Amino acid sequence: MRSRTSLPALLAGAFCLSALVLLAAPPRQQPRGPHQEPLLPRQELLRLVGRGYLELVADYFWLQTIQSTGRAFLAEEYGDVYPYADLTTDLDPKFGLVYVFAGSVLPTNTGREIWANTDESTRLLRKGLKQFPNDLKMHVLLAYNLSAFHKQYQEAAQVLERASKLPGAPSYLPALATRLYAQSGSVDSGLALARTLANSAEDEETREIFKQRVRDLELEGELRRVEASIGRFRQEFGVAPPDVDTLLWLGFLDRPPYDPKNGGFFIGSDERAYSHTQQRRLEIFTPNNRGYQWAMPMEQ
Amino acid sequence: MGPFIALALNGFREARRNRVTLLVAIFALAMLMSTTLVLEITVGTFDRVITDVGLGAMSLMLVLLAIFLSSGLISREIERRTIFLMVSKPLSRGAFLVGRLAGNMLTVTVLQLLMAALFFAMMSFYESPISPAHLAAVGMLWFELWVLSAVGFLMSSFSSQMVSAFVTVSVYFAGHLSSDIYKLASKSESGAIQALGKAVYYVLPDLSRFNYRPHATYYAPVTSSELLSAAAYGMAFTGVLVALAVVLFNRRDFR
Repeated sequence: MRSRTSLPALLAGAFCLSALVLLAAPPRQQPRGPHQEPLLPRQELLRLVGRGYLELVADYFWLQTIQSTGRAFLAEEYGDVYPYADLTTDLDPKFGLVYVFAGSVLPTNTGREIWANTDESTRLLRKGLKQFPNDLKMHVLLAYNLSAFHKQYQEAAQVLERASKLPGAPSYLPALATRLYAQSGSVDSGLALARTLANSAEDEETREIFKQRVRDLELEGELRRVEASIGRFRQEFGVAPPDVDTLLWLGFLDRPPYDPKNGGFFIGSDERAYSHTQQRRLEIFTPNNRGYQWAMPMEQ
Repeated sequence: MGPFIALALNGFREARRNRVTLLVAIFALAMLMSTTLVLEITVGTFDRVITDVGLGAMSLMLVLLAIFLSSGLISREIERRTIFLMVSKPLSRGAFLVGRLAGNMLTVTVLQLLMAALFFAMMSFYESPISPAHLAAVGMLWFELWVLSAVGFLMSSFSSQMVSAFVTVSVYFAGHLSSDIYKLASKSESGAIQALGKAVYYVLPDLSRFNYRPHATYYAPVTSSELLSAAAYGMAFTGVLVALAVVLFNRRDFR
């Protein structure tokens, strides 16, 4: 009988182990070539294979969402957050934090206020709102996206109007909604909202705030009417009219504009209509539009 | 009752000799690693992730163990010819089979209790709230394991270990998808397909009835009537499968 020595096996094992230790290395970094979107499995496949563990699978892709956010540097890399978040929420639509997190981190400023990944962010927030119609944060984020990135002021105003009725909504939301309505040109919608809020206000202070907003919106409506007649005048004569009286005299305005605060109207050097009683127009202010006339006429 | 208990305890001892308790250590390691890692890399969802990882790992390990143990037990006895020893004793084949199933379930139950204790200890340590849904998820898993073990036993009573394991794994997946089969079939315009889909649904165990892990994830309320009905469904399904296994086993000729 041959002797049962383990020495050769031990030696071979030790040799292989040393080779393994020497060859062991962290995972290789992929060469940094052109950016490619992450290639993720189809949710149908994951639903089939991971049935019974879908929450766990969703957690995995949620962690990947966070990691892709941490890795991102360029706009297209931030765009990678979308496929991960979309898949996570496909697998577990009730995973509310993912919509808010990804909806906030996706829009990327590429410089000079040029934003990327805004469509993806809005798509994700709309998807989230179908699942969480009473989520205040998602409403506000969507309204921000709609007004700041997509310039869809009317829908932003509608979203904010809904948000302002949710429990815990900050008191400035209705006022912001009316401003967005005014910006979108739907002064009547803004007026309707402001009047409802003034009528339903529980305390005198809030009622007075919304009554003031009603007056602001009425004035904004008049200013827009004057501006429309300025446009018609410009089309006719190729220049802006010198004052509001000219518009009335030539019939571009059918009746004198009415200022609920009893002020007068004038045409600014930017050829827009202004009132003496309201320094700033009721609209969204941007770096290019501060909403007021620097060269305000002193007294007329 | 004596031989029955002896068989059950023997099954447990055999499983212990096969080092199945190692699973608890693996579970503990998985929990420790995942919680440590998750604490570092997640944002605001720690409670959810610890729940999902804990319950998911527990379920996956115990399901695989139940399938592995149940599908090999009878066929191994036959392959090793130890079955001749048993059938020559004054013990009915049915009692032998049920005793072996009880032994199997004793092993799985002990491991599940250890894992559950570890899981809840971990949750308490991280001050993660424990809801009734967490207890329901762990408790209902036990009934799912009964059904899967019974499927394995049924297959094991007349086929090889490989075939038993394959069929039981397939039943596990199909059982979690059976409600989808029902819903998809009911959308068909063909009456025959609708009937077939419903038949498949009723023949397969609806394992989604035992899945309370999503409830635990969302701290959703669970009603005791729902739990009782699912538990009774599980035990009834197990009863049918074990009865079938006993009938098939009784007819089997070991010569």
